[in-house]
Amino acid sequence: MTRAAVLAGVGAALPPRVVTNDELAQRLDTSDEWIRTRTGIRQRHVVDPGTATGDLAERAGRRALASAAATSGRPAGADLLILATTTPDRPCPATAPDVAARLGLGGIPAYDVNAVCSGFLYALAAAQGHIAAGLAEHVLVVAADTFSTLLDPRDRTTLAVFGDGAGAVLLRAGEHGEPGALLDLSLGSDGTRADLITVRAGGSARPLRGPGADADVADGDRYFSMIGGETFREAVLKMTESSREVLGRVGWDVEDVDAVVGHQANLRILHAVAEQLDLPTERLVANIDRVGNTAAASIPLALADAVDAGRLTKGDHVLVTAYGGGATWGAGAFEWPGLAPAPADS
Amino acid sequence: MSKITEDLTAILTSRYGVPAARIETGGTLNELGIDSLVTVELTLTLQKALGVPLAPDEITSAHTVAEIVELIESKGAAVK
Repeated sequence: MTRAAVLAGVGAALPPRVVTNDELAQRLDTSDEWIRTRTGIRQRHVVDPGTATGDLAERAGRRALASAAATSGRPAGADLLILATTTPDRPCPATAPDVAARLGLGGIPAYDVNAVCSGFLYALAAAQGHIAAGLAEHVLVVAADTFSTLLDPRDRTTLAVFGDGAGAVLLRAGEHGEPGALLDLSLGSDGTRADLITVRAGGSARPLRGPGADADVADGDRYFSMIGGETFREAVLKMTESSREVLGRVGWDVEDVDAVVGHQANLRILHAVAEQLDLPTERLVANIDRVGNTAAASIPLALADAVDAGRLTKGDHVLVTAYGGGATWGAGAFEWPGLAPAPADS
Repeated sequence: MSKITEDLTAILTSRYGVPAARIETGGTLNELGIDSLVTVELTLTLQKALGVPLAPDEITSAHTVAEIVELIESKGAAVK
């Protein structure tokens, strides 16, 4: 039997600057009440100029390693790093090697994965594959995004929803059946829905420079855009569908699930998923009110927050699920292993 | 009042705070103060509760409650 990928540590990082709804309302046609009732978000963290995705990824990775060390009582390291991000530090090269170097992990393999808001689950699957194949013993999965760098400064909708942040987990090779072992993952994509969540220009299809440059790129096409209503519907249906698939394969009934840590896109999406699954909303783990939608980072960031708050205890049945640009989606399940939070000074 | 009308009225009053008396006057969802986000939620809720498949734009805020009930009944969800 192949080896299992087992959760060994969790950590997160947020940039210090907080942008409240009231602050947004001072410069845009919006209000705290409008944002809160439609999204459940009260504030988000945003990077200051000079801080990049890699900076947040490094801090979250360091904290996940510290959490693993505090949990096991031994120093923690990694022999592979996978970074899920849509906002790398540079268009080329990937950000993961730089993060690995800054963490002092030596010449380990490191690469980026882009599945937008489902990125953490995709990276988790890649990590599980490396471990199962015997190619890695400890994989640091970091998910970090600075969507504030993609947003149109006049778009009140996306500015209200997105925040910057990073989360990370350390996975180790272990046995099936032990607490923390990833029990199942389901992933999917539908490229025909690429326009739901997109930055239209700036890639090779519509380059902004060079011989093929489009001189007439509309301002809005340079920025991130999202078709809200359709994304809401698709997110609810796909997160529900993949969650049901995972529950079926793992053999859990909905009543057996202690915590659903869904991608924190919108509190109303999470509530709609709970309704579709017949899951009491108390089982939803939500930190979106404080951090907004942090894209790929949102699930590990919510996991780290839940550990800090004592919301997850050893033996809990945890379901994770996400939907994001691509379109991409997925779900996964594990029995919570009882991880120590990263020490405050890590 | 049909069961579907009762269910829909209950959702609109309890979850979205629409006064029942206003629903009875027959206005569109838009006139009842229901925005596009709620219309999406409502479509998902009805699909789940009544077991009828509803396409993304099948219910819009231009529909009245009576029209939505008629649509759902036409899909064979007359009795729950």
